[in-house]
Amino acid sequence: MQSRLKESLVYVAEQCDGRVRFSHAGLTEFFDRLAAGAVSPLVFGAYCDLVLAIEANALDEAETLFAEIVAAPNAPLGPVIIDLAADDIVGADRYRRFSDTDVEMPFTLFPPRPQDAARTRALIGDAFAALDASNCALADEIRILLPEIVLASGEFEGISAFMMWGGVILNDNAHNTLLDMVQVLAHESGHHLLFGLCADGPMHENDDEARFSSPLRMDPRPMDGIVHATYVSARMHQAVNRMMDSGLLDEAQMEKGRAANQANVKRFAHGMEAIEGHARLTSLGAEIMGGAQRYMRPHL
Amino acid sequence: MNPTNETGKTPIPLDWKRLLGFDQAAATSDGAAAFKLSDPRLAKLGAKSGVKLSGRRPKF
Repeated sequence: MQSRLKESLVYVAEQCDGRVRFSHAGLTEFFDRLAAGAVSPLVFGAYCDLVLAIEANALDEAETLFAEIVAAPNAPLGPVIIDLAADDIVGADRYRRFSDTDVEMPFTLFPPRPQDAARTRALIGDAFAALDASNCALADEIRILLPEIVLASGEFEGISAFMMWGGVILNDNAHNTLLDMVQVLAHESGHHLLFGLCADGPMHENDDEARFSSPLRMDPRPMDGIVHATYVSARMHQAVNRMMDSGLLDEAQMEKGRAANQANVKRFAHGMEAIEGHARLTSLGAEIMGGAQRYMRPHL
Repeated sequence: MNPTNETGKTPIPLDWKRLLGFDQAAATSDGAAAFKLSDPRLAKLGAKSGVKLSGRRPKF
C-alpha cells in the first residue's frame, strides 16, 4: 500500500506541477519516511481527499492537503489508541467522513464516554497480552496492520476503510469480554490485510452496485463486503481457536469461545454460499478465499 | 464542454488507472462532476462497518 501510495503521489505531483504549490524537497523527504516505516492512516485519507479536491478543481484545498502529506511523520509501532475528538479537527473530521460512506445506512460517530473509553483501552491491552501468549504471530501482525485505533460511540461495532489504511474505529461499549476484543481486533485487522493485498487489484469483478445476502448484516451488501465478511469470519474463528488451544481460558471463557466459533462457522458458510453462487473472483480473490476455505473446511 | 470551477481554471486531468484505490472504482473520472466518498462507484473505497448488535445486525 505504501509503495502504491508513493507511485500515485508521484503521478499526482507531476500532474499538479505549476498549478498547485507544494514542496518538491519536502515530498522527497516524505517518500523517504514512507519507505522507512508506517505512516498514519490519516495520510491515506489526505491522499484520497487530495484526489477528490483536484477532481473538484479545488486547488487551494489541494495545496493544503499536499502540505499535510509532506509534513506527515512516521507512525510509531501500533496501535496508538486515541479518542475521537469532539471538535472538527482534521483527524476527527476525516474519520467521520470516511466512516459514513454508505448512503443506505448512514450513521454518526460521537466521542467516546470517558469511563467506556478507559474500560475499552484496558480490554485492548488485555487482548494483546492474551494474543502475545497464545498467538504471537497474530498479535505482531495486528500491531503492524493497525497503527491507530480510534474509540468512538454510536450505532456500530467497528469500522475500517480502504482509504484510512491502518486505522480502525472501535465502539466504546460494544466489546465487553476478552474474546469479544480478540475477535474484533482479528476482524478489523483482517479488513486491512485484505485492503493491502488489493493494492494492485480487486478480489472480484462483480458490479459494485449489485447487492447480495451478507453473513454479517441483515441488509444486502455489495460483493466486496461479502468477500470481506466471509474472510474475516474465518480469521475470527482462527483467533478464537488458537486461544482455546492455548490453555489460557477458563471454562466459562471456553464455553463462550465455542459459541463464538459456532457463529463464525455459520457466517463463513453463509458467505461462501453467496460467493460460490454469485462472485466473479479474480485469481487474487480465489487464492485468498481458497486459503480461508482450507482453514475452515475441518470446522464446517 | 470543458468544465471549470469558480476561478475559471481548467481542471487538472488525472488518470484514475494510475491512482491507488481509484483504480478499483467502477467509474473513471470524466471531469464533469466531483465524486463523493458515498458514490456507489467508489464502493471499494467505502467503509466496512459492523452495525451494532443491539441495532440492525442480529445475524447468527
